[in-house]
Amino acid sequence: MEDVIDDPIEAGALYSVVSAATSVASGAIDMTRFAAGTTVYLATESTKAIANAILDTVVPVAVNAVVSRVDINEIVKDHVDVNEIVAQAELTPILDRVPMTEIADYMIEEIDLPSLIRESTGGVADGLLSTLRFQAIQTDNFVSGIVDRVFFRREKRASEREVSVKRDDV
Amino acid sequence: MTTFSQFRDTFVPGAQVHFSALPERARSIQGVSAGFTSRAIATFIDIGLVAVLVLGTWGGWEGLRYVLNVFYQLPSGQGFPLLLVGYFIMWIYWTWSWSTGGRSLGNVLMGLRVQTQRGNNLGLGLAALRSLLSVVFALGLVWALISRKNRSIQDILLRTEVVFDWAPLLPKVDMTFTMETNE
Repeated sequence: MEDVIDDPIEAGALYSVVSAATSVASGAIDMTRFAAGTTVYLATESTKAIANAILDTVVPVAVNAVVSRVDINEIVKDHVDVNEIVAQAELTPILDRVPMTEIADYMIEEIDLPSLIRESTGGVADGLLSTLRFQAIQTDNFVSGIVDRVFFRREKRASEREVSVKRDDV
Repeated sequence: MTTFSQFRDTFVPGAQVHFSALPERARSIQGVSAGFTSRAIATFIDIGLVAVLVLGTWGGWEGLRYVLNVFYQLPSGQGFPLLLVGYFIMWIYWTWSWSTGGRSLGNVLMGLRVQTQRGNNLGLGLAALRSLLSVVFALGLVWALISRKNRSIQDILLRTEVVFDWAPLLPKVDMTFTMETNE
C-alpha cells in the first residue's frame, strides 16, 4: 500500500481508472433509467391507446343499448324543471334570431289588416262611391264591347281586359 | 289558415309586400285608360257644378235686386250671356284642376285623372288648351267610344289620356315593407 501511495504516477493512473469506472457506472445507471422510463412510457401510452380504441367501439354500443331502453324525455320531465331552465335563458339573442318583420307581415296577411282598415274607416260613402265607379266601368265595358263588335275587333280594350282577367281569377 | 312556416316557405326575402287600401277588384285597372261612361259622368258632374255656381250666383244677384229695387222687372233674354259665363268658368275650372293634379270634382268622384300619354301631369298651357277644346267641342269625348285606347278627340290632338286613379279619396294606408335578407 505504501508503494502505491509513494508513486505519484501510479496514484494518478489509479485515480483515472477509478474515475473512468465511476463515469461508466453512472452512464450505465442513466441508460438503465432512460430505458426503464421509455419502456414505462411506451407501455402506458400503448395501453391507453388500446383502452381508448376498445372504449370507442364499446361505449357507443353500450350507451346506445342503455339509452334505447330508457325514455330520456320521461327522465327530463320527471327530474328537470324545464320552466326553470327557460326562465334563466337569455332572451335577447333569441329575439335577435326571430324574423320580426316576417312575422308582422304574416300577421297582417293572416288577419287581413287592409280590409279591416278599409271596413272601419271607409264607411258608407266610400262604398257608394266604389259602387258608382264600378257601375260606370261595367257600363263602359258593355258599351265598348258593342262598339268593338260592330267594328269586328277581336282584341278587348285595356280597361275591359284588366277587369275581366281579374274576374276570372276570382 | 296558413301557418307561419308555410308563409315563410312562400315568402321571397327581399321582395316587397304591398298592402293597398284599394278594393281588390279595382287594383288591376289603376293607371288604365278610362272609358266613355266614367268620363261622361265626370263631365256631367263638372258641368252641373258650374251650372249650379253660375245659376246660383245669377239667381242670388237677381234676388238681391228684387229685394232692393222697387221697380224690379223680371230679367229676360239673359240666357246667352249666362251660357258664355258658364263656358268661361268651365274653361277656367278645368284648366285649374287639370294643371294641379289632373282632377276636377267629377274626376275625383269617378276616380279619374288626366295626364299626358307619357304619364306626366299636364302643364298649365296644355291644360288650358285641352280645357278649351273640351269646352268648345265637348262631343269630342264620344270618340272615346270608338277609339281602341279610349281616347277622345282632345286626347288624340294633345296626346293626353284619362286614367283610373282611385287612390286619393281612400284612406292612405299604403304599407310597404322592404324585407332584409337575414342570411
